[in-house]
Amino acid sequence: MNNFNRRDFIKLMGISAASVATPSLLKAATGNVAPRVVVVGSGFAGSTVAKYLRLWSGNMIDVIVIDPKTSHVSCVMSNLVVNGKLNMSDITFDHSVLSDNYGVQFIKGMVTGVGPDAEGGKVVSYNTGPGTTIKQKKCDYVVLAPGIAMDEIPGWDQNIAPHAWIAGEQTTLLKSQLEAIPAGGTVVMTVPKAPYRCPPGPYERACVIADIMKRKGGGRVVVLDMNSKIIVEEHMFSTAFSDIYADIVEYIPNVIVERVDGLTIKTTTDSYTADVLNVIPTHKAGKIITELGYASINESWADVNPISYELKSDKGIFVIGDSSGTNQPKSGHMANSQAKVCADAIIRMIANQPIDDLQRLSNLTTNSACYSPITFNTATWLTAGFAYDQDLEKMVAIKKSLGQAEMHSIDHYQDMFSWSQNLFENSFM
Amino acid sequence: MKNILITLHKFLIALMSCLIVLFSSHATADTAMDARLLASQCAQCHGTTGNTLGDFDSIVGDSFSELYDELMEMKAEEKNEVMHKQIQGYTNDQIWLIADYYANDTTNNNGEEKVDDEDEEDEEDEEDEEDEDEDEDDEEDD
Repeated sequence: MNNFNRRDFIKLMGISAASVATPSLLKAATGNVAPRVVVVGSGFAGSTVAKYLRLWSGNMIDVIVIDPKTSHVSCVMSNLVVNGKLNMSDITFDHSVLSDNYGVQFIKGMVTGVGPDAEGGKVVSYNTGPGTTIKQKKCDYVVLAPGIAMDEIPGWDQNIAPHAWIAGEQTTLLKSQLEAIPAGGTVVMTVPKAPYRCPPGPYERACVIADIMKRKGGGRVVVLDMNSKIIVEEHMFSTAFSDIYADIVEYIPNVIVERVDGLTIKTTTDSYTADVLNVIPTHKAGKIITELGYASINESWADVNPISYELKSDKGIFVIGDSSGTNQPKSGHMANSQAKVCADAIIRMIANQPIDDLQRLSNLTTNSACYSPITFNTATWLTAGFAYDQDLEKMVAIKKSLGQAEMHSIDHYQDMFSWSQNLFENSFM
Repeated sequence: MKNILITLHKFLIALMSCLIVLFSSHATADTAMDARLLASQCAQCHGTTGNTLGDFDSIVGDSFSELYDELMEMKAEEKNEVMHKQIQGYTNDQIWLIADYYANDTTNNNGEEKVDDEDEEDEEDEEDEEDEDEDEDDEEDD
């Protein structure tokens, strides 16, 4: 733990000492103990908030990230691993980088609880493996960034019909299944009911798989959409399905999935048996959010105040990224964006500065951008900017900032690599 | 006439620099932190320090006027490109804060060297001279 000097911290923040009252929440007020934040999860949200808490506080805040793994595999660009354009190592980010560059501390463990401690702070409980003793970390604030959890479907075995919607072993499994499928084979996939992680993602997945089949010499890709229509870039994806992949893709909206048995998926109207079955189910906030009772929006997502991402129900606990329920898209780019707003809020709170002054609120923005491959060498893009609406008390999409590519192109495909390189650097390095 | 215009142009640049210094030194801590947060939202595509990887424009070492003018130009153009769309999400005041942040602040720059802007300013002057020639032509047409 580093020596914490409140005066140095305040100086670093550039805040006049006279304006700072003695903070009640921190032991730091009386001792030289650094404020501490525990972050749960090391994806785009968790890694970015950890990095920026260190960067913006001049390393004066202790930041501990608890995650079951020692590296994070990015979902962003993982479809490019599925089609063999990238290797897993290209989308895998070791925790040691943020540790070396910013002094972020990592603990390999699974969080089992979050609660108040006797001194007005928080205590995070975790184990370091199944059956191991529960350990605890005390801290001032907790940031939960656990990503998503999959809804169960009766009979579904994800080792037979992978989702590949949390990147890692599932990505490798789907890739190897698609490599093995012969020309003329059938792939069936589902599009989850919105809101879900990465709005264009499932349609992008359909294009990537159709492209693989096309280059094998043909095949059939059945896209079972639980939504009533293609929910983003409708023109782009419907044109891709009906034009580029006219003989391959069969798109079916309004699907209700009843069960999955091996490689057979049963809907309320039909049954499909596939050579490869890519089941992407509806999902909700990461498991810990549900376990702690924070999934209050549709029993799926955490209800947060987007000026800080603090839970509306629990002070001092923040939820960022896909687990939070705001009207912003669930994407890696957006998770990174939210993490910075959260880090800024926590730093101000530690310095006993307001986070809801008019000036800050009128300058709260987030943004999202993403590129989707349409063929093996072309891509499209989608982008949106959001600003805080003080009347509605939520982030609202800025109409003029909403945009999407008119055509998929080789240029956009190349830009996709520039975009992801910078997003990876900004989040994980 | 041309010389007077060039002198005026240089005076305006100098005045703007003074205003930036004034603005920066009188900026409250809150403004500095607001600017930092706003500017950090560029980093997803331009890198933590503004030293951008890949083919996107790097923004390290650009002067305030280069950044501000380019962003305002993009905002006015309203092209259907990612950056042109992104910039529609920011008010002119916010664009000012972002440009000022990347031109002056070093908090996120990890000691990155700033390039000397002098040569680039000279180039700007030349471009402006050409613009003025065009203006004169326009007057003749009238």
